[in-house]
Amino acid sequence: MSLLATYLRPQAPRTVLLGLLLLAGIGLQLANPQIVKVFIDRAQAGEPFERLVWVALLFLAVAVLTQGAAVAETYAAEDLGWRTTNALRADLTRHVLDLDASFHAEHSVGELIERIDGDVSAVAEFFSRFIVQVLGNGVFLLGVLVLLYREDWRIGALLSLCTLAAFVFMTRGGGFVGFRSKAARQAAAELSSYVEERLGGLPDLKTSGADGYAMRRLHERLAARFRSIGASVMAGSLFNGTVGLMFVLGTGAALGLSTLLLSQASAITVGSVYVTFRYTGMLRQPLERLARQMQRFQTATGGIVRIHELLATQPRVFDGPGTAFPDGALAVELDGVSFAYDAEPVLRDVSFRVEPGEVLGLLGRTGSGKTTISRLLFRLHDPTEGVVRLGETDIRAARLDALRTRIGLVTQDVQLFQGTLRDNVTLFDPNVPDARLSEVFNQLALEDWLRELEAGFDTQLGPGGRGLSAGEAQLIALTRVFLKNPSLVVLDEASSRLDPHTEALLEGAVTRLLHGRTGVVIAHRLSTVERADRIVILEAGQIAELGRRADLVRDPTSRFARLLRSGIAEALV
Amino acid sequence: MSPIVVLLRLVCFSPRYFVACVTFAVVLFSVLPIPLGLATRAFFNALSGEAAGLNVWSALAVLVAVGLAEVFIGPALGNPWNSLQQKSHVLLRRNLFEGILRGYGRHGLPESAAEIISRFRDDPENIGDALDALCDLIGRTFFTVGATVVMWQINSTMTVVLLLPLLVSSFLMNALGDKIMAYNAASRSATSRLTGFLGELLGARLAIKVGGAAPHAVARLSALGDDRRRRAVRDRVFNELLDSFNYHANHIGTGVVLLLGAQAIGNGTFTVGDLALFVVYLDQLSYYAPEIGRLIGDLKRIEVSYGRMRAVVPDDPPAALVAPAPAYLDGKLPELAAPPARERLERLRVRHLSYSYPGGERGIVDVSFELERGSFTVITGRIGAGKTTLLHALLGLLPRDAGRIFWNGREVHDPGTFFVPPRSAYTPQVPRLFSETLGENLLLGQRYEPVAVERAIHAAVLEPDVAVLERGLGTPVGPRGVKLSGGQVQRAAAARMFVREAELLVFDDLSAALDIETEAELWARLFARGGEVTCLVVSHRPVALRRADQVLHLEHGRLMGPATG
Repeated sequence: MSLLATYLRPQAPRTVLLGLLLLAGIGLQLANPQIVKVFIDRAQAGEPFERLVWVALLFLAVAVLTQGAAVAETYAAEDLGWRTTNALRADLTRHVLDLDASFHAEHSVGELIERIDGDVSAVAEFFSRFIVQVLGNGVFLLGVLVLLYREDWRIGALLSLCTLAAFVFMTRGGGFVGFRSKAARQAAAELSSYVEERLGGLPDLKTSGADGYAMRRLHERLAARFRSIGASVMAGSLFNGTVGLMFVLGTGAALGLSTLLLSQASAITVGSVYVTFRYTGMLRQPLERLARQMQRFQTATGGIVRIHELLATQPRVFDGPGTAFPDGALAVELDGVSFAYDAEPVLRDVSFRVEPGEVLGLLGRTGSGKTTISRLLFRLHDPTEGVVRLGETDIRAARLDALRTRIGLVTQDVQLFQGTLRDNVTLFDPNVPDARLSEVFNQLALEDWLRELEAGFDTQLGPGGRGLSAGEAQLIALTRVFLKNPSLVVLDEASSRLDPHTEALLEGAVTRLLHGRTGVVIAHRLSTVERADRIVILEAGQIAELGRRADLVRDPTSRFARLLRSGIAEALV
Repeated sequence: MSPIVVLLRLVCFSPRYFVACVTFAVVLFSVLPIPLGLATRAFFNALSGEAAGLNVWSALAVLVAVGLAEVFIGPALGNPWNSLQQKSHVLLRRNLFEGILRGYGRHGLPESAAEIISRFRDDPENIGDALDALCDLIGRTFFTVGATVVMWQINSTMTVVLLLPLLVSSFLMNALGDKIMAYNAASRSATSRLTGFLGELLGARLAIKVGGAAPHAVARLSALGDDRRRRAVRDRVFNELLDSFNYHANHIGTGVVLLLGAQAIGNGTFTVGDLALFVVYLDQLSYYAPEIGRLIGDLKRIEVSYGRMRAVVPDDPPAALVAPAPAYLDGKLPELAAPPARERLERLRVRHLSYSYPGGERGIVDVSFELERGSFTVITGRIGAGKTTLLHALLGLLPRDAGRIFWNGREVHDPGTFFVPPRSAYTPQVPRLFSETLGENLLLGQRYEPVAVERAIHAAVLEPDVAVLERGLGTPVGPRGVKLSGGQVQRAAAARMFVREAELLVFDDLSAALDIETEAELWARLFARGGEVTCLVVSHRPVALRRADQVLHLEHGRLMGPATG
């Protein structure tokens, strides 16, 4: 509940307006049967036709005004709902983007979309329907009961009891409905998640002859959703039905009671019975709407609970007190660093140092821990033991964004978006002028490639960056780093997928990038590592060899020298 | 395709649920309310002293009985309106998914994955809603006829005067139908843009983190959110305007009854009971025009949503999305078809294969080559030269513009359907695993034969990794295989290819995520298999080029020079 209050507060004036419109609408609706009562009683009393006509016209005027109020209400409620939840959506997205890899390993993109948009939209429904309808209907019900008391306190008491009983049932009995609807939403998320995953892997599915398998698994999910929704709807309709039952019995009793009172010649008139009849009729819809909204409340609370869970999930890596880094190229140091993802240690007691402006070459088999080191440097994780230092400062002492603006990371798997080339290079930053972009492309010796694109920076890339080859994607990744102007450059297997010609192009650009900056280069290719001043060889998470490259090359017994020899055939071709 | 036809096809797909749903609607909206009105009339007539008709207490009893029936008819019939809708969702979704699978080779994914999910999730719901509206309308039509007859017999003038506005408003709804559709479409496309963008952001979160772009990206998201807000509010308010006009028509009708009744009550031709009946029937009748409007609106929404779904499977005939197919909702699941018969590859011939990407410049032109059984052919070239394009055009993952393919002299007309195991298998450059266990990812529905799986794992140099995983092959690999390293994903994809024991193995830059030693080991094991398997490989590694029987060098999409190793 506090979550909603937080997001409603900035919208206070709109909320108040909505409240006023609600009250106006309620007042008009309650006035309606009273006018008819007057009509009936006067007609029974034999009043002249002209006076009755005035009553009828008053009735018509009220009817028209009621409609106007309803439309205005809808506008105010819907607008308010979207404004508040848009803010929530943005915050959720921001929060989720900051969470670390271990979270994202458990939750697919499809599932997260379902949470950030699906669940939040359910909450929007909650705002615009539940609050308006429940509060509006609540006040309306109170108004009806008060007016019924006015007719006869016994009728009022009877129907109050009935309403109360229904209300208690609705608030208590909603639990099992909510449970079913949460399960239904979960099944929906699983379905979306399944489809999203398969859409990303269609070439894999098709060329593996797995179309039929994919359909079979789809049917599994479809059937699961069918069943869970059926259960949820049945729970809902039984719930609704019980509320309706209470009401039907109550109405019958009220009409019976008013019949008795009529025959006892009290203040009840035929008009009063009609009013009772109409008002008990008016109890039904708000009560049913309340019941429906209670169900939706369960859905929305299911969604709200999941949103809370999401917001409560904290990244394990968070800002330090805010120690600043010195300017210029920075020294890099790992001091006794160990790291494990879950139980399995990936790095064990790794220590090395890179002086400012030097380049470190990091070698080792896949799985030896090289990529993990790049992630520790960028603080995507914190080490389980030991310290990572940048410019002599423990990186945990700095603020995350202060740290990350100083480091440029080029990963093996480049992530691109549907959008313009500009969007992909600047990552949606509107403040980068095209002149700066051109400058960067020139520095990378990519002006020819850029010229070949007709639309230049406005070239549209398809979903997931369709329209660029894997090699071109690597160029974009480098451009992003150049734009950032970092003090430390971490290149993670950047050169693996390119052909020799383009690699040569890039190597020139990378040399320029590394000039005046510290570099950590992780590669499988020995030739890439030739630009390194120092070498670290990792094996199974531990340092197997460490030293200046020149020294290691000269020592024939060093592992580095041995690797150079075994890979020499490659270097010659 | 006309939305009415779509609706009718869906009705024919679930006739039993439809009949149950119509029965439910007829009982709820006609069979129960008509006696309700009559009993109300009798009740008030008795109260105000009219002699004829039921006595007060009998009338009251009827009122209560009808009320009870109304309340429990839904669950008693098993909520058929829900089953009808849900079953139609299942049909639409499975047809959409199957269409995407089928059409991939012809046009890839016509929209982003997140956009397609939005359509998959939301558009069938829009279409299913119309079924419910149809049943309701049928139910209410019976009531309209019956109630009109009863009211006519009481006071014909009043009946005519009341029904006219109801008819007028339904015409109004129809006329404004296009507006409804436009506003609805605008609202829906704004949602798609937002979820599409959100999906891309989440998918590329590492790049966003690395680039410090979160604030800008979220600002863009907020802008999309505001756009959607405006459109959604406009859509909803417009609908409310039309809905409430009809809903409040009954109040206006009551006013008319009062006006016209003022005189009739005076001279005794119109009783309080008659007034009560008219009010009760008006309540129900006032739903009729909106129901027509709702159905018309839903039909327009069907048009929009069906159109959006069809845009995802553009080459399929219009009726493909509602083509009947088993729904498998009774606990059974579809059987997996046996793979096609093994056809020993003697020779693969490719002639003048060409494909250019939309926008014209990139692609392949006039590529011709031949593969003999047991040969090892390497494709090499710069970035953008067309290596992956060539493989995709050959395998039918792209729609070739020109060229012919011959397998053992027989022409292959539809490579997308033809090049599947056991004829061929493929490891993409960026392989994708799914959030199932490693074993399930390797098999993807293929029958589990332990020996074949072990052989495949060995060939892919994956045994050390499988040994280290907590549950071996039974370990779940997470979405996109994210719990495995890049190299493990690549090798798992290779194992997935090997386990199919295909005649032709196609690899796109297999060595990308592998270090030198691992890669050398993989090639060594591959070559050790001997001459039985034919390989087509993209690589620029010397170890592959040296071993090649044939090297195809691509430059700007064309083959350079003759082919020899």
